[in-house]
Formats: sequence, structure tokens, C-alpha cells
Amino acid sequence: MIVNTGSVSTFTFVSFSIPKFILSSFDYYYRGPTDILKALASTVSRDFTAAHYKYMDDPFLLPSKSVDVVSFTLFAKSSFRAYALSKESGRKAARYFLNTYPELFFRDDAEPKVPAFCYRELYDENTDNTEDDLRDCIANRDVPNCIIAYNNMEAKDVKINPELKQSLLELVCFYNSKEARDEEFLEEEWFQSKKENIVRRTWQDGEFAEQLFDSLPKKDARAYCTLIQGMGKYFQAGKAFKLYEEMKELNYSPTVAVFNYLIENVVFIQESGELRFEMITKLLRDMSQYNLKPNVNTFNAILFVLSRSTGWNKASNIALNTFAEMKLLNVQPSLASYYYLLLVLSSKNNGSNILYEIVREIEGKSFAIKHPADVNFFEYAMHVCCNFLSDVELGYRIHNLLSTGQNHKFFSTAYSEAVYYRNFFSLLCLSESTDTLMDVYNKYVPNIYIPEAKVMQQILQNIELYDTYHYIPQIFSDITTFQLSFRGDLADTVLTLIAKKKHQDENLQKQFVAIAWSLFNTIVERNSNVKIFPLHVKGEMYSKMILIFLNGKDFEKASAVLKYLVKEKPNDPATFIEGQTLKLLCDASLENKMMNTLKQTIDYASVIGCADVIKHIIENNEKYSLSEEFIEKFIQSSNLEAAKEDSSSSESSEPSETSESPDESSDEEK
Amino acid sequence: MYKIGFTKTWNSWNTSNLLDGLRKSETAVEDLFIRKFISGTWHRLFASEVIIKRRANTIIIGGIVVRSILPRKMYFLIGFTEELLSYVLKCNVKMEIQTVESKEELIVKYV
Repeated sequence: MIVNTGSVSTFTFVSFSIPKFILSSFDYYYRGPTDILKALASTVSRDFTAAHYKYMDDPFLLPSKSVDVVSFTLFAKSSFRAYALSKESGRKAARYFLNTYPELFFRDDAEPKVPAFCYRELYDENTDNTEDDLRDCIANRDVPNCIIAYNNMEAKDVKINPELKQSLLELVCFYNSKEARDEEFLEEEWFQSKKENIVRRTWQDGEFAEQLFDSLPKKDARAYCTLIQGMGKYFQAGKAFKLYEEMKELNYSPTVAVFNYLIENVVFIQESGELRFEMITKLLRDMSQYNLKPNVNTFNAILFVLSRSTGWNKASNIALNTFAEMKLLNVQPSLASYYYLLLVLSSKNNGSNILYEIVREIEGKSFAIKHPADVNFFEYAMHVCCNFLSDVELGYRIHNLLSTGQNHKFFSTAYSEAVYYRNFFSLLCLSESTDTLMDVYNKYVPNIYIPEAKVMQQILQNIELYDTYHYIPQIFSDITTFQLSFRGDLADTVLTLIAKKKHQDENLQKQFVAIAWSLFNTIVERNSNVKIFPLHVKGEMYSKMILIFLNGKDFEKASAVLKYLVKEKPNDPATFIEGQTLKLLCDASLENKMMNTLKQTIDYASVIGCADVIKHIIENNEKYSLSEEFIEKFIQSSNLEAAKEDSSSSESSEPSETSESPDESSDEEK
Repeated sequence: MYKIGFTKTWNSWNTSNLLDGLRKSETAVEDLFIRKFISGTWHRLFASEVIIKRRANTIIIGGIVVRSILPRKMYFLIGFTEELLSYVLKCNVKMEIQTVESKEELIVKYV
């Protein structure tokens, strides 16, 4: 930083004004307050190399890189989850203090006042409320305060403008007389472990919304519409239809939104698909009588009902007809329309092919959210593509669509995003070469997606298929970072893969030895700690480790595994290693002239009943030019052990002790 | 203290003290408050000075923190500090911290 002390710099103030209107190719549009920011934001594309900006950019604080030592994490994405939720929990703690002790934070010299940083008063029965209070509460969407204020005013006979009452009714119907969710705290919702798919009645019967409606002196069409919409939104189907009938008798005309909700609620009135559709047709006829034009949500509602009546054989035909009608009326379908259409058709054989047409139609488009079910489209489309069609080309096309514009925001929870990427990666593992797969992998892992154990398994299978073993060290290091090593049989798969053959590339083989060694050390560490749930590792895995070490010419590590087994698990049949491996170990110890290990191996072989190991040594006798005496001694001692083993299995732990003493003698002999 | 501005940069970055700057004294007192708040909330965690940067309506609190607590707890403190200070100072407050293993890592010496 240069501190300029001498010269006086001169500033020229450039004033410029931003026009209030934007000229597009068709018309002038009024510029909204955020339009310029949006335009600027659109020039920056998504950064795949960085974690989300809610995380601190620091090696210690970035999720997935820094492993939480204390907790053994259960979810793959847990550090992402834990950090984001911790931050939000800190914010909630601060909010708690601010709300509980407002008198400590009275200072406010901001001018004008910032409502978000002002204490929001909680009313009680004794507050004198005016119409303005109520109006403010409604504007702030503060439902509990609204209800208290309204009740206070009613009790004190304060006159309330009918217009204000109507907007209050709209508010409580929209939020089901409950507190609105705080849009500043969304992490909890995002990290829900499962997406809540609520299609059940949640309307609060007889609560404030209904009371307010009943108390209205003159119930006009708008009040009826509002209440029906509220009930429709929370699936109180029976009452909604009753109100609708009342409305018809009173000759009030409903709005399109009322019909949309009523159509959705048909699901709860009728059981079979045929009756449901009959009812929908009736509602649509009513609609045309009132001269109302259906909008995209009307069609979405019809498709929603059809997607819940897939047992009906005409459902898919009618869904297609609905779509045709939509085109005819020039209504732009939203992603939810495509989602429901896919849902209806994919329940039938070969119906999933519609996905090709859907993708062809919407390719390259950027969507804005229009319907709550819009967020389900990508997850479900990829599911159909992966599990029903298994077409990687289509998978890429769907993924390109997701990468278009702001489409990557169409996920409601972290879980559904993970499901999408799981399916996408499974598809790639099945049909792409490892190089292509790893290009995609490097782009999305770990900042966007952390593969589950199952996907890792598939990636390893892909590596095996394409013989691209040089990717294993990278994959393994990710597996360790995401703490998946002992999830399922992932560790076993890795070992099987690298024990499969001896690799020519010495460097690679060295890395494999390091992988096996780190796995072995984890096992030893985990099993020596009584407090942590022990790992049950099968003998085959130990065999594979020994094999890998022998392939890598690292004899010391191979004998360490054997020593560990002899010492810690001498009579656990599950951990017995294979005879073939023992033979190789014998060969190696002879080659390296390590008689201690040879002795230990033979003892161990006799304990687990692998007599052919000794046979193997005798057969290969000449190769290593062993003295007769030496072999005889070996045979004797091992026969002895074998006999002991037969007589009582409880004593089988002995060989580990007895093996110590003759060791020196055998070394001397040599 | 003469080193500030010469061998090291300012601990507070704002435009209040320029010619015709706004809220000179208030800014100074607020900065003092922020530093006290940080030293109490992030008790014995800050290894460096607390750097306070003001940019439009945002206050950015920077610094180097010792890794003596779990990252989770650090995130809790970040959320807590941001939310509470935002409310008290009536503007957006953000934290930008970096971590080191121990305070000694900050000692830089040329011999």
C-alpha cells in the first residue's frame, strides 16, 4: 500500500443516472430495483472450484477438506451440513438474545430506520392497537401479531376497515393461521435428510381464518375465494367444495386460482381415476361458464390429479391430451407440468420415452419458478433417465439443461440434489470411459457433490473395467476424506482391485502399498480403541493386504500384518488368511532370508490348518537350498503344533508364544 | 505505534476520516466496541489484530484465528457475531477469517 503524502489529488465526480426503463426488442419495461444486479450477476457463471460462499475460504474451515476428529460422521455430506447448520444456529442464538433482552440493545441511530434491524414488538391482550398496527403487521407478514391485534381491536370495538379485514383474511389463509416461516433461516430446510412431500390435510379447522370469515358481516365473493384458496392449499377438500357450492348459490363468481385449488383437491374427494376425471371435467365446464381462461396452474392441477391416478388405464392418454390442449391455448408449461407428465407416463411400460420429447422441447431454455412442484423435475428426470432408460446421451442433455442459466437452482433440498448427482454419476460409471468420468468427477466433487459409498463402488468398477488403475490413489484419498473407507465393503473393493495384479509401474505400486498400509493402520487403530465400535475385517482383506505388500516388494509391511494377526486374533476363524497368500509369504521370507517370519508363517499355517504350506516349502526346497536338518526341524515343530491344534482348540493361541523361542536358533543355523 | 501505516497497514479501513467524512467519532467508538466484542466472544482465539473494513453499508471484520476449537464451533461464533453485530450496528456485518495452527506462526523475522 502506497501512502501518498505529497501531492494533492483531485477528484472529478462523474454523475450518471440509470434509466428507469429498459428497452427490450418488443417494448419498454419498467426497471425493477434488482434488475441491474441480476443483469450483472448473469455475467458471472457458477464457480465449481470453490465451495459455497457461506463457508469460510480457509483450509481449516472449508467443509470436506477438514475432517472433524471428534464425531464419527454418518452422512457423506456431513461437514457441509454441520458447518452450515452451526452457522445458522449461531445466528439463531444471537436472535434469541435480541428477542429476549431487547432493552439491552436499544441503541439505534440509523436514519432512516432499517426494519430488519429493529425490535419487533410482540403484542398482548393489553395493547391498544390501531388500524395502522394491523396494517404494518400484515405488511410484515407477522401472523401471530396480526391475530392478537385483531382480537384486541374487536374486544375494544375499534372499527376496522373491511378492506383491511380482507387483506388480513388473505394473510391468514395463505399461512394457515400459523407463523410464516422465516426466510432468513433456510439452512435447516435445505439440509433436511428427506424431502417432505406433503399431500395431506394440514388445514387448521376452526382456527382464526375460519373464525374471521364467520365474523365478517358481509361475505363477498373475494372473501369466499380467499378462504377456498386457503383450504385448497392445505387440502381441506370437503370444506372447500362446500364453500364452492355456497358460492354458486349466492351467484358469486370464483377466480381461476379457486378452480385450480379445487381441481387439485379432487384427489381427496374421489377415489378412482375415472370419477376424478369426471369431476375435473365438471369443474372445467363451470370455469368456462364463468368465462375464465385456464392458466398454467390449472393444467398443472389436472396433471397432478392424473399423476395420483396412474392405476387408471386412460390416465396417460388424458395427460397427453391435456398437454395438447395447453399448446392449443398457447399456455407455456412450467417444469412441474413436465414433471407430472413424466410421472404419469413413466408408470407405464415404454412410457418413459416421453422424456426424449420433453428434453427436445425444453433444451436450452432457462426457467423461472412458477409452481411448487417445479423443483422436482430434474431429480425425477435424471432418475428416469438412469434407472429406466440408461441412456447416457440423454443424461448429458438433461445435465446441460440443468447447467443452463439459473436452472441449477431447481432443487428443494440438499438431499434431492445429491440424488440427482448420484443418478448422473451412476449413469456415467455404467457407460463412459474412466477419463470422461473423471473429468466430470473433478468438476463436481467435492464442492457440488460428495459421492456416496455406492457411487464410489461404481467408479471403482469402472476403473477395473477400463484398466485405469492410476486413478485409484485419487479416488482412495477422496474416500478417506469423505470418511467412507469402512462404509459397506468399499475398503474390500479397493483392496481387491489393487491386489488383482502386480503393476509394472513401480511408482503406482508404491502408492498402492501406501493405500493398503493406511487401511491396515486404520484397522489397527480402530480395533485397539475399546471405546469406538470395532471394525470386523475378514481374513480375505488381510490376505489381499499381504499380497499388495509383496507385490510392492515391501516385505516388512507384509510381515507386520501377519504379526498383528498372530498377536491379536490368533483364533478368530473369520480372520484366517488364505493358504495361497501364506505360500507367497513363505517364498518371500525365504527370499529375504527372514527366518523369523518364515517360522511365524508356518506356525500360523499349521494353526489354521493349511498343511500344504509346508509341502510347498519342501517342493521348492532346491530353489532356496535349505539344509535337510532345517526342514526337518520345521516339519517337526509344525506337526507338533498341528497335533495340539487338533486336540484342543483353546490352546491354539500358544503358537504365537512358542514361536518366539526357536526363532533365534533358526537364525543362527542359517 | 508509529509503525501503523508504515510497516503495517491500518486496523480500521473507512472513509470517515477523509475530508468531509461522515460520522467520525461514531465510527471510532463503534470500532472500539467491535474490538471489545470480538475479544470477548472469540476469547483467546484471535492471533492477530482485528481488522475492520467499511465498504458502503457493510462492515467486514477480518483477522487471523488460532485453530484451538473445532471448525463447527467457529462457524457458530461466526453466525453469532454477524447476526448480533448487524443488529447493534444496523448494517450488514460479515466476518472474513483465516486460521493458523498457533500464534507463533505469525511471527515473521528477517535476520
